Amino acid sequence: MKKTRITLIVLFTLCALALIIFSLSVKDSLPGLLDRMDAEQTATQDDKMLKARDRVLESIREGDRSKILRNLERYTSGWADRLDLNGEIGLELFFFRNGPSLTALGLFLLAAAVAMALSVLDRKGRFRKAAPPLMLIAAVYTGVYILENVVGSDSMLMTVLEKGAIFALIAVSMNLLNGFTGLFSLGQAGFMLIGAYTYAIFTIETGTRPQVYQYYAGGLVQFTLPALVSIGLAGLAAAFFAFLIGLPVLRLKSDYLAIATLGFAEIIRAVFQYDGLGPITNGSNLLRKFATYDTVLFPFVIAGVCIALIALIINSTYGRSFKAIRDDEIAAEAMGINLFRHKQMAFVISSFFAGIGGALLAMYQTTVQAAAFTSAMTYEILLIVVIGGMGSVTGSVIASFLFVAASEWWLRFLDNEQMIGSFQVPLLRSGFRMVVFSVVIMAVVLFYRKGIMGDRELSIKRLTSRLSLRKGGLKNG
Amino acid sequence: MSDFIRANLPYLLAGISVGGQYALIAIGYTMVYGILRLINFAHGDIFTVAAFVMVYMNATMPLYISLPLTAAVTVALGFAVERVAYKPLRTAPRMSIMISAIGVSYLLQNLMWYITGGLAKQYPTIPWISSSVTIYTATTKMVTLVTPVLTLLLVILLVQLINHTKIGMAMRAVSKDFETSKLMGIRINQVISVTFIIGSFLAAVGSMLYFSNYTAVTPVSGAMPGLKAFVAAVFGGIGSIPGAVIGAFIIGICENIIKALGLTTFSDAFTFALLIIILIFKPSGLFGEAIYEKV
Amino acid sequence: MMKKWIALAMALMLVLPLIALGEQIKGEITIGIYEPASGPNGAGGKQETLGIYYANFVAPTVQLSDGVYKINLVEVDNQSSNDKAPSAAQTLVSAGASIVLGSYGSGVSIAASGIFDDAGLVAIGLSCTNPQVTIGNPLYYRICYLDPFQGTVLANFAKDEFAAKKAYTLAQLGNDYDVGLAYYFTEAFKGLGGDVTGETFPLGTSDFTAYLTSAVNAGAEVIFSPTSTEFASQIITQAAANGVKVPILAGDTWDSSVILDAAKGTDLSVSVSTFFDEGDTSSAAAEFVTGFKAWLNANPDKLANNGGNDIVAAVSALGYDGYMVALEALKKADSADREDIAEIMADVTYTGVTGAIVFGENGDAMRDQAFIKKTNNADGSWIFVKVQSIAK
Repeated sequence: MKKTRITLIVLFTLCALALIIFSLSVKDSLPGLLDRMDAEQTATQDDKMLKARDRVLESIREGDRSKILRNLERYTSGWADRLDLNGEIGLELFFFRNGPSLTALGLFLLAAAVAMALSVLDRKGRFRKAAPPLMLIAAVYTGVYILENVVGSDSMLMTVLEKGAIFALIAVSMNLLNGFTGLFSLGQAGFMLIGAYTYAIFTIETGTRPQVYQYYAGGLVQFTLPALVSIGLAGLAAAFFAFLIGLPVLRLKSDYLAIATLGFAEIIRAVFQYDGLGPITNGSNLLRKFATYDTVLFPFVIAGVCIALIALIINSTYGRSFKAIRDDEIAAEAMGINLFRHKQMAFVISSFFAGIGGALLAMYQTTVQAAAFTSAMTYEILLIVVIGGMGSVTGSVIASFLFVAASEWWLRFLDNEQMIGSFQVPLLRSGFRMVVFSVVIMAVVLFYRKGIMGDRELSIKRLTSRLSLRKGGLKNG
Repeated sequence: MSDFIRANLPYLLAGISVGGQYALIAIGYTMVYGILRLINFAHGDIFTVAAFVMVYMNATMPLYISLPLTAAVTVALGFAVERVAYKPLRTAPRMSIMISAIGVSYLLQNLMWYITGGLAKQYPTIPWISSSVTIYTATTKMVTLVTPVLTLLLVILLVQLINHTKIGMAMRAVSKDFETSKLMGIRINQVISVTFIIGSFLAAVGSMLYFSNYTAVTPVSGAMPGLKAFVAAVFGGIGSIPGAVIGAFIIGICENIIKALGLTTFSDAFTFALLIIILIFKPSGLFGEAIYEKV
Repeated sequence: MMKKWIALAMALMLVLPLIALGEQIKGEITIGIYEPASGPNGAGGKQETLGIYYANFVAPTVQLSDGVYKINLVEVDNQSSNDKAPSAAQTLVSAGASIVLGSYGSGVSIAASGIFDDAGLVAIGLSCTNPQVTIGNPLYYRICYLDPFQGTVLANFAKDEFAAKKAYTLAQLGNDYDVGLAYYFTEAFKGLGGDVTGETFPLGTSDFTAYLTSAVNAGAEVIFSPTSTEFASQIITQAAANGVKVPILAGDTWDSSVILDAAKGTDLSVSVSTFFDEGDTSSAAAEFVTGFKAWLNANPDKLANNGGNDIVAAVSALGYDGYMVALEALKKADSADREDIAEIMADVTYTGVTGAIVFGENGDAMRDQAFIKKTNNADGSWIFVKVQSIAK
């Protein structure tokens, strides 16, 4: 047992080192690669190809990797009939294209090897317990990074991943309130709006403000803050408003609370569109030209950190108090839990993260407008929470990826007329996707009331034990 | 003075008319809430479906058939929604059933979007009530005058029904105490179905009046009136029918006063502000009974 | 009968070159259509899309130096909603569009501009008139006139035609097009010595009587309501029902048969400014109008998408021109590559049915005239009033 493990560790380390060293070394071979391609080309020079080659060289000078790749792609596809892309050049091209992915894979393998080594040395077993989930997370991030490099950030897959990560954060923040504390709040869109606007207002470049605030003489805010600071501010602004709104509203019970928070979200929306606040919010016009991210990893990292923080809160004493309130308010109060303070805390924390989620959503959309943050948006997030399971963080995360993928990608074909041979599939036309989608949601709500995860969390241990159980069952059967 | 009236009479008329239409929707909310303690989020969408049914029916058949048929289809829909989406959840926590209501609303909206292609449809003209009429100095549609009268008439009928018939008595009993009335042999499911049927019927009538006045129907047309009618129901004291009606008229008129003052951006926000104020200071509304938590 | 023959002839004309060229088609080039097919602007978006499809019917292929390419149109519905816009735009980017046409409605165009820009994808705005669409978006081009121009034209018209000194503007809250055009109208009208009261209504409003009453109470001599057609029909019918006799004025969105239907049989005066007039007698325009009508009438679905009649909307003409400009761009770039197109786009010129298109500052076509039309309430048609231009 131990022996195989050590062999594995050595094998992993060697692979990792090989990958890292190799992928880093091919990085500088680009001009050489171009020369070799030129040497191998046999046909006469043609204007279009010369231009393409110039572009490659220019982008190498600029150092913009994605641009180099795009131009290289064009150059090689133009030469495809004259170059031997299966030979040495093809191999080198492959390594250039996938260099960073290979480095990332190498690093991941190295980390895995280290983790295994530590597990072997670890006598107490504490690390051994923590290692699998950490490695899973590392695998997810490495996977996302590699995927982005391989399929390109324009693809639908990456869009779904981006939006899914953002919605995961928002859904988890709502779950904290609805699933863990038992407060039925429908104000999430309002807090997202505050977050999105705060972020956008502070990160529009000073030079472009006159363009954005064209009816308000460039607006009042005349400075720009770094993106990360603004994201923090977005969360704080949402939390602050939640604090104020919570003072009166949190005294209400269940559905009254729901309708009051829904009302507040509507009021927030009207206030942000108010002409009188135009120099700050741009009135009812779009905000745009603010800082956005250029890698899918950004929303993944921010959302991941935030979700981890929420998970820590849920597992703390406060989290246990929240759950006590959810299960029985009166009993919780009798146990000495200050009901109002804890509800307020849950409300403010949830809104803080909803604000950050709003900021990320703004970055994803590249423009933001108050009119979009309607109660329908809140309902969608609520449905994600329900599908994932009230009271399950991992459930919300899984459900938001499924929800986004289904609504934006997998079910898209339902919106277009389809032919199977000469048979036109009936019913398929614009809007059918959403009908099917809402029927599925209704089915979940009615028949799988607990959602995907119920109130449990995804655990590798349980998964593996279930798998081995099933194996065992087969043996016995 | 006459100038003042001339300038402001149209606002008042619009307010009363809208108020009457909100009232008809609000009754549906308040009755369902009174019995099931459920905010039936789908009610506003049933109101819109009624309008589309009318649009499509009227394209193929004469008015005297399409009007009653629309009411019948709407009632059937309300009944079906209850049976399919709410009944299976009767023992589930209240949050689940509310989520189911949101799900139904989502489904109905998407379905309407799919069937209509997401474009506004023109509501058919119903003769007489769509014609113009001049009162004092203000010109308006006949429906503006008909609405409050019809609303009051229907409410009186409904109150009679609730106070003086067997099913009405059963409804009162169920809303007082769900469990006990079950033990007393009241057929709960029947009572609930009747409640939904009455609510949907009134929503259908409300939709006929509302869209005769504002003739473009879109899948989301009913969302705002629905929400506002709900606010009216809470404002008047949820569970109380006269409360819902008075609340609806107050909200309809206030909304138009706000618009008259030039604060149009806040005309919707105002309604919700009113709701929150009421909830904080008198959670049981103007006429509602205070609900005590049982330990 | 005649129309049928024309349609048949045109179909033959289309098929014959295809048969001839059939074997030489080298590949496909994708052009994205980014238009609303549902929501408040759905009716107008469908008409614009029809123009594009008609252009594709007339010119289904493009000749590049290395062969003939078939144009593949990919359509996506942005639902007239700014929050659905980014994912709709992303769909076109992922579908590999070489160039994008659209959208009807400025808000959705602005909302998508960032996505197109990130993907290096050139977009040609057809009838989105708000300046924000192209300002600061180097890849967004536009073939119609802008709101500062349109607002001024309409302000001048209000003053000349109705001798109005007091105007009332009504715009939808949160709609960039409405609010922007109302803003420029107000600026221009005040510049002419007039006085303006402005109000906005939230999305989902059905009851406009309060707004119309406010307009009357403010003593407005003209109501300017540059809204989408869905609200337009409500505003017109309610104005008629409530006896509001103030002339109503609006921008290009109101050039739609929805307005004609709503105004028919009333005693209201409704005037709009637009990009193109069906009665234009220049040969290119006349040819387009006849061809387009025949094409529409040959297919009931298309006729239904046009609002159930064969009145040629200005946006259909712009859709046609936009498609042709896109073909010009492909030819000039001699490539379907996004970057190649972006490089040469500013130099593309084309003389279309709506006039000459030359891109100037910010990638906006230089346009200096607008057509003003008025409803004929007796038979539900447009009456051409005049061509209005302004000295800059």
